Amino acid sequence: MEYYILFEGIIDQSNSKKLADAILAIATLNNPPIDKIHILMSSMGGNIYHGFSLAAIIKNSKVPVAIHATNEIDSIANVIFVAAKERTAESYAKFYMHGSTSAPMGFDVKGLLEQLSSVKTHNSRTTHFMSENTGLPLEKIQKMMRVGASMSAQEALNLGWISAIVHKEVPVGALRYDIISI
Amino acid sequence: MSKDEIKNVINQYLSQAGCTQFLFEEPDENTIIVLFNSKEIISFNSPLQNWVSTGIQLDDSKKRQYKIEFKKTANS
Repeated sequence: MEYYILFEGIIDQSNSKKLADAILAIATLNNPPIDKIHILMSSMGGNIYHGFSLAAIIKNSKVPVAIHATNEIDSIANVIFVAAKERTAESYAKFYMHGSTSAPMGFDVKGLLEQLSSVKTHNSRTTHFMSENTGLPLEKIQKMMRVGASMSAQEALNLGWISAIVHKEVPVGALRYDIISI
Repeated sequence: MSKDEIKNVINQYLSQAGCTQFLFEEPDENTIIVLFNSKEIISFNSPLQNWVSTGIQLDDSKKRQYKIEFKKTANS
């Protein structure tokens, strides 16, 4: 039996908690047991901490998680996306990557240096994670992040970001949970 | 449907989507693989019942640009 999650929204604390709770709860179902969780996903990104938390939950889920890009996978949503071993997309999906940003904490020298250090570290860990989970060279990901690269689904397929372009819908009558926050 | 009829359905569906230069492979009796080229690829939605498909993948053999693998389901 397969379970479907329709996720549309930014990666903030509220949406991340809903998605994490859903994945963890679905993994405990045993009547019938769930063989695979499909996340049909679109997100314009959001908080880096919550993005990495969801990526860790997906990578360590008791039930394999497949993610299908239905619209846009932007920014930190790419970290969540590549955490899934099975990655697919609609032909009209879009992927966008950019360097991390930071909200101002103060404009004294110490505050600016802290922010600079934080942004550099976030960029580094994001590129490492995406490289390690896609098999793409680190330099390639760094360049994409630096220029703010957008990819079509076909470009993502050719690059190895996804394994297939396919049309997916939640089947009628399937087990499902919707997290919609437009 | 016979395998030739199935191949015709696949050929027709992908031709309408702008795909070209089809090459069919049958590694076993329950599997059909179609290799093809295409400038613009579509969200593949299988026209076949009782066969599961992979969607459009890269053709690692490099005979063509892309491939789709179809496997007959147990209840077909």
